[in-house]
Amino acid sequence: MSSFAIFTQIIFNGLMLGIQYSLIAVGFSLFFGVLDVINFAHGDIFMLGAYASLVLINLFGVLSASGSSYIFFLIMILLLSAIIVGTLGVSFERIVVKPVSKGPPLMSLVATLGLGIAIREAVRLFYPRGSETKRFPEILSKLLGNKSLEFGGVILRYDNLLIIGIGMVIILLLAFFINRTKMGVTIRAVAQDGEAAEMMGVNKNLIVDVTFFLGSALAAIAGLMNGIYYNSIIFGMGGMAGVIGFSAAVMGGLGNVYGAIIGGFLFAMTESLSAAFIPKGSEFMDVVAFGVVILFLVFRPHGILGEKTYERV
Amino acid sequence: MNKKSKFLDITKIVVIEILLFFLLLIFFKIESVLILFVAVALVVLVFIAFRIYKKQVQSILNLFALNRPVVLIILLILLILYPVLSPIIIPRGGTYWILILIQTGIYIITALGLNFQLGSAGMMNLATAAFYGVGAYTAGILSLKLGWPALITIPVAGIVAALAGLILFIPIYKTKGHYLALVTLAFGLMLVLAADNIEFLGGPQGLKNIPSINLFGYSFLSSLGGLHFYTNYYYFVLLLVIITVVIFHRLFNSWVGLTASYIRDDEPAAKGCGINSNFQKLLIFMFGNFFMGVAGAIYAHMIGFISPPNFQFTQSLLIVSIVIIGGMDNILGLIMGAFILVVLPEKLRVITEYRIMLYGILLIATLIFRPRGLLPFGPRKYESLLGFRKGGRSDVE
Repeated sequence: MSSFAIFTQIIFNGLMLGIQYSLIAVGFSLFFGVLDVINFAHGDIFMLGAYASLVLINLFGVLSASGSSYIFFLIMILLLSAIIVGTLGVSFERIVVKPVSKGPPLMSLVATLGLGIAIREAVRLFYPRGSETKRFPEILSKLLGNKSLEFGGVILRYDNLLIIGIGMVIILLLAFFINRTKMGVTIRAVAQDGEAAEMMGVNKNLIVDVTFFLGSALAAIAGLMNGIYYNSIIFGMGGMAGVIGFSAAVMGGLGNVYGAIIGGFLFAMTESLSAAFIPKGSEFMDVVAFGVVILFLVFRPHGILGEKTYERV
Repeated sequence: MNKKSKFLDITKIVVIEILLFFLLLIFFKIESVLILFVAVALVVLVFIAFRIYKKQVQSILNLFALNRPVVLIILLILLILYPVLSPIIIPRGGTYWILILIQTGIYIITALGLNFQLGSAGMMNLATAAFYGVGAYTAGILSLKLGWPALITIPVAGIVAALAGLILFIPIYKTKGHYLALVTLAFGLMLVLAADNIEFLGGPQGLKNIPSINLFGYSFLSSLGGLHFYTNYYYFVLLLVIITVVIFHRLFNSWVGLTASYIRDDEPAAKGCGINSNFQKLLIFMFGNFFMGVAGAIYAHMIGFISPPNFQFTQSLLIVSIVIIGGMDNILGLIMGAFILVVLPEKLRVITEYRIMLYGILLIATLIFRPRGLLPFGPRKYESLLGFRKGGRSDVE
């Protein structure tokens, strides 16, 4: 393979992972914006997304459908799993995250870690044979076949291309929502100054609910993508995903949605580049990526797009 | 106070402590799930009774507070007697509970180190288990490859863990709060991943056959007066726990502890008062890590086998929750937290499957209903710091 081909392949892998990481990181950034809380259970919400879509696929018997109804089913799965997990996210927020967010910040961090454990264990215990790795059906390759786009030695699978496309569309929709709609403006207002926004007549509780719905739904979509990409899911997959999502959000600047997206891609690129170019890279890629995160925090503690804050006495 | 009432007070304390001690032993002995639930119901009833008879409870607490040396001496005697009594009272599994208490002791040492960072200085450290692992691996490598005796490996392990903390000195200077939490979390993950992939450290198989502690020719594997060999470790860990508690108690009441609290509560103000907060934070971080390393080394010598999964993030989370559930910056609360989070899950082994989920729910419930922990720390009392003792007035509070 030519070096061009290798490079393209690496970039492609990075994009593939980057879409997923970005969608998770956006949640961290949104929640931090409106509630000043790091929701460590978010990784497990991502895992719930993957399981919810698996349940839906089995429930609908999607694999036996064909033609245009198949496409309809796929869209339904995407939307339904997002809605279900979004609702779950809102209920977790009401029960756990909001009550603890009033306490000291480190307490809320530990409480959400506890919530994550509870969710993970609930899936392990109550999903049929939940402690095993579950096979995720290749729902996209049925639609597109096992074909791939080839040029100059580069092999890009069509289903992966489709995932990247869908992810890009979702990110554009998100940007539109945050920038152009009234609700998006309100979310940004609450993130900037919650009290001032409330004085202007914003219903903060509603905004917090909407934000958690949005963040959890995006994580659920990331979970679905992860399932399709790796063809297998397991109850513990949320732990690492949560840490990566948080890292990406911090790299981009906590509280900034675009920052989180950039951070997600940056983290994924670091991973795939170090997997390719460092000896024994695939084993050490996370070591390198987390090293980069630490360096980032040292040299740019407020992230790429985050606002620099000063402490006043 | 006349002699007679003093004697009466001491008798009361002795009776109450012995009663509590035997209740604990009986709690260890219970095996049936049903009786366990009855016991839990009783504990709840006792708590409700506490609410109703506030005055009496307060008078008992005062009694304990006024006669602290007596309380501590009796407690020490009971703890020393424990390994002798345990196999007699609990014929089945008595030694097992000694092991659990040793583990509790090791966790207490680790959590005390973390408490100094998190509770006193407000520095989140989510790499606790990784630093603990650094200590364990150091002890393992030194005793396996170089044949050093445990008396040297344990302090060296502590020092290496402290130096591992030194690597993070720039992040400690520059970050705080959530960001420091992420740095330490990432660092901990890096260390575990690295240990998993470095062959010198045994990779995923870890290190096997780490020699047991051998103190001046006395092997800790020999049985102490016919008791199980765990008893040696029990006394060793007990001694270390006492030393650690004394050190941190003294530190808390010293200018170091006060400086740490100042940095935690208002760092810019502390800087304004001429405190070199960066240097202090680094010292506090390294000092806390030292104890994590020591605890890890004891663990490595006792169990004889270590591997990367022992030092993963969930372990750090357990230690952090010990500090937070007990109440930050509070040694008594921390010991209570360690008992709740280490001993209670062992008891819950009967419902093995649901254990971890219950642990998560317990964590959430505690933080929702008592966001500052079970025994939150009140305002500092400056008596000992300013040099006046009992009876002296403390104007500053």
